[in-house]
Amino acid sequence: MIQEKYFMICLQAAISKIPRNLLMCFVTLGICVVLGMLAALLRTYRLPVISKLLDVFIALCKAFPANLILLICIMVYTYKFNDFAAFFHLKMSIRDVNLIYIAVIGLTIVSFPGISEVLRSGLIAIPRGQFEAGYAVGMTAFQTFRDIIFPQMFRVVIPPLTNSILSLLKMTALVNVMGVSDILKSATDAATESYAYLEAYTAAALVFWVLGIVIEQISKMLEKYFAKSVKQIA
Amino acid sequence: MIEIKNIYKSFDKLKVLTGASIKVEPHQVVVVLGPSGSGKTTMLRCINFLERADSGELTVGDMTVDFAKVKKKEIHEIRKKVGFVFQNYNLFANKTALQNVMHGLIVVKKMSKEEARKKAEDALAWVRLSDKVDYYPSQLSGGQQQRVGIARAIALEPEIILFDEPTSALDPELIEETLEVMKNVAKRGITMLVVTHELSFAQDIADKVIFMDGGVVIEEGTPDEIFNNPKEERTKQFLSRIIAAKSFDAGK
Repeated sequence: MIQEKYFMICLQAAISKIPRNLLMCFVTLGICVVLGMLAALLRTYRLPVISKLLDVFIALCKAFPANLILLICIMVYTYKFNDFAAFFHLKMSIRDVNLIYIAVIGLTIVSFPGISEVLRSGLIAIPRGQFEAGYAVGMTAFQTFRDIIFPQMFRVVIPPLTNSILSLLKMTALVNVMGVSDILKSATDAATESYAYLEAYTAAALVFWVLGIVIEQISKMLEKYFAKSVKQIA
Repeated sequence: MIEIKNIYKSFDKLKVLTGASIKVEPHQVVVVLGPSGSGKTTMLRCINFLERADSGELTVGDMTVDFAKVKKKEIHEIRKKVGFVFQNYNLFANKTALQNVMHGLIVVKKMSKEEARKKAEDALAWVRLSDKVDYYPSQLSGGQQQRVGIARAIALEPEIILFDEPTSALDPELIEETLEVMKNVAKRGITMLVVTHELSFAQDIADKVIFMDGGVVIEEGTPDEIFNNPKEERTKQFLSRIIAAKSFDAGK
């Protein structure tokens, strides 16, 4: 049923886009972790107005399907970019912007709430005593967070964050709705001549599968490394 | 020297401290006794600003601040002068025993790594934990964790160390080893303010015993005065109840 020749062509095409999907995935992840951490801190320390606004924003973001957000982003971008550039006096036209960045913005909006919640759950999992111990030793709030809270929090969030990364990676296959060529799009493009779509989908699936396994394994290694402080000498 | 004047603190409607005042001279060991809910732990936590008192005045060494309008920077300065030993040890869970002691020396006291390591090793040797330096808190018994906690406080050389019921989370057989270490701390001439239910520690070690109830100091004096000739009725009641409980324990 699957013809090897076409499969290999599609696989090659799919593999050639791995860096692009990973780039979108991890740039988005980076932005989400920084913003999500900030949001988690603001919501945990309950700053009066800002945390309420964040609650509403996050609730909104959670409700939208990913491809809808991507479509809205690309629409806003195509209709409004030139106005936007003019407003900020940017000497850029719509053609100068790589669509990947628009995809990253869309993916960030979609993944930000989940990742922020994951980080917040990590933050509230740390006992109050750990903060107090830091302060009692004479450390500032920032030093305590950096040296004591964050490392412990990181250990707690590795498994759920791995989930977030995996779903983010899978979401990068949706960016073709905005015309960005990714692993999936590139594989199907390679199949247009031969109509070998099953080969194309299988090739794309194989690539995502391998990426998924690699991410999972890295996460397990990290988990093991950070678990050393909680392991009992049974 | 540390002095609290007229400290007030309430949690919502619950008034925990209602004008308590205490004073600890340098190299003194002061033990605070009192029933649960008398505000002794809260008072201790207020000294270190783990709890914010509503009003009152605090003097630590050459610094005097008003609880009601203390600045962030002053809080930080006072915390550097004051050591704290927690009831639940609160060791940094992501750091080994040695790192627990070293970390403050490096980050707060700005020591070099080698210097801090040397000092931390000395402190841990002093609480007889030289063989456990590379263990994580989760690998140590409660008593061992508390001794690391004491080493962590001592290494920073604060002007005073506050002990918040340091033995009340421990098994009976682990209490002794912790009290032993605390006695050694006292012998080194370190100023200590101790909240505890261990009457024997108060009797043997304290220079002064303070009895608190209902958010105020009811009575203070030498251990002999408090234990053998208490003047206040509430002190007598409290002591007789504790002693009865102890002898009941012993009789079992």
